[in-house]
Amino acid sequence: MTRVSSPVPDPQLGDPGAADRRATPGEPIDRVTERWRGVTAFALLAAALGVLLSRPALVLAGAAGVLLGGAARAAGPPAGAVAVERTVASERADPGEQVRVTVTVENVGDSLLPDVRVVDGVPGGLTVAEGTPRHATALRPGKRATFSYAVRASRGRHAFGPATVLLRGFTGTVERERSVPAAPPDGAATDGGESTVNTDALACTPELGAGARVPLPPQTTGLAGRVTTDIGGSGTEFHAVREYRRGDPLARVDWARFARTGEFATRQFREERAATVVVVLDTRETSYTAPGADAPTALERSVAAAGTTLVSLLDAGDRAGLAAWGPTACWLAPGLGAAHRARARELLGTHAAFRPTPPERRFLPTIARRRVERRLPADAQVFLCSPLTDDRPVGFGRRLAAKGHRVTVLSPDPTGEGSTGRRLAAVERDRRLSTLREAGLRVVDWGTEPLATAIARTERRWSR
Amino acid sequence: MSDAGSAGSGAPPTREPATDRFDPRPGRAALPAVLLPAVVAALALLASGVAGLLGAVGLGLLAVGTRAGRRDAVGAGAVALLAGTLVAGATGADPALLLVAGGAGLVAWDTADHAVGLAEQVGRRAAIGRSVGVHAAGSGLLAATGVAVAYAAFRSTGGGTPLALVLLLGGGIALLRVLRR
Repeated sequence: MTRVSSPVPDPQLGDPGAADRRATPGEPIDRVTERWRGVTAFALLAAALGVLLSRPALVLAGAAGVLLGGAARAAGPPAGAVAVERTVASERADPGEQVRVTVTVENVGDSLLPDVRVVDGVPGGLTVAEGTPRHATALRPGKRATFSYAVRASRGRHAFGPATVLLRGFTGTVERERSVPAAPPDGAATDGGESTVNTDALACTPELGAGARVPLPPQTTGLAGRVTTDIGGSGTEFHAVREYRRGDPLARVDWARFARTGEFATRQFREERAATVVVVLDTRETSYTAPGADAPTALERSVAAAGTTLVSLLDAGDRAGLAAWGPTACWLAPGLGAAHRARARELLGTHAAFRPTPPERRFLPTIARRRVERRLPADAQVFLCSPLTDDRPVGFGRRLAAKGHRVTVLSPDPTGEGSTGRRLAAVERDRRLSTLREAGLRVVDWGTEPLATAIARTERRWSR
Repeated sequence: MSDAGSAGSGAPPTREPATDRFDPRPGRAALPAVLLPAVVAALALLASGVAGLLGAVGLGLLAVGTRAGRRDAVGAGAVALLAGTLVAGATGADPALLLVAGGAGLVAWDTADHAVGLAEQVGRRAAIGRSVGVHAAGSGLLAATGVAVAYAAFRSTGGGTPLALVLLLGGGIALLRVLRR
């Protein structure tokens, strides 16, 4: 910022930024409300009319009005100070659980504050379930006002922001906006100087979803598992017959052929092996699109799908990992076991890369792509979760495929219906899906149905 | 609103505040604080014909505007009340009555405007009664002081030599000019 605005924006010059600008802690903003301008004009009109019609009473009323207007204008910005205390009832909650937030405003200055308006800094990813985070009151010096509301917990690590406090005098000529960080309540238990009362944090890590079996293309590691490969060996599904070699198990000797031709032959079955899979989530800003105002964002659905995929893979004995392709890096190397699963749940729930509100950081395409590519094991398959709202994930997926990874694109559909723009977005997205299919990638187009249904519907058209 | 949009129709009909939208209308609590000065102003105007009619219109508009959270209705109501005061003054009403009408009209407008602005910021579900009450009291006190000062000046100059009034007006304007900087 090059221009330093005066504390009271000049109504003549205007302060274009003042209406949208928000106060920050330690830097209050004053706004002139211009409420009394019309009153003064009216009073002068009355006085003029009184002079014209020689009515002393009207001049008197006009003079009184001008006096009032002058007094209102004389009022400066309210000088008082307020402190805000906040208690968030619990630090962790299950999805949908209501968490009570109690806020206390105190007039810590030594003047009467006739008009105090408080809007608490509810995190963007949470909804208020009960009550309201806004409060209006009047406070004498030393007086406190308490209000409380409940938020409904949803996935993510949420941090409450500073409360916005608006102060006005009796005439409301100048409004002072302050941003007040919340402190723990007085007399709260402390632990080595740090208060033990939670003032601003709420974390929520949903259970990883289960119930959908995620099919895998045949790219595997050397370990036994459930992915049917094109490698002949022991298994259940017939693959080929080859000439008998010494040491082949007798059970796999093709006795019918021996009876017919007198030659030994060994039946081969498709080997079932374990795969290494990395679920890559598109966490760029474009993933925070949703078909409607109250619908979950594509990222939210991607995270749910990633959880389901991870559970399905880990249950089947495949090694599964997690990566974020977006402004913030997140990497969980493929692994197995309960601890690995708990780690994945924690990351999907609370890692900054998957936060429920769009990232403020800039997305650097090359860096983000390299970050994923560098860490991918050579034999790893990739599950790319992306709403495909632009062309970049298409290029990314094809690039990964070209490097030898089998790529499955799982795309939650964020397009809605109604406007022409929405329909256009849907058409464009369909075109991207086709491009991916033509390039030989597996694509799951996930609309409003359950994920398992979408997978089952799509699986039928996949060849091995 | 027709879209209840929730599953589980067998559940007891609990209120679901998360689904109702932010309502920027002041609740019932603001109404008495607005109506009291507005009624005083309308009554003071009642004596002088057309002005009384304007006063009644202003009273109604203020009440409706406050209830519905509409600034334009509140502004129109205030203009009607003050226009009534002008008409009453032009037709030669008693100075004391005129001052009461003007002052009470101002207080009514100020309170209504405050309530509407407050509700726009904090919504219907926040309790605003205390804030509106304190504001109305402060505004009333200020108006009473202003009116009293003007009336005392008027009386002390022996019932209104025009010169004294013009001087008073000039003083007010000078004050305004100084404060404007």
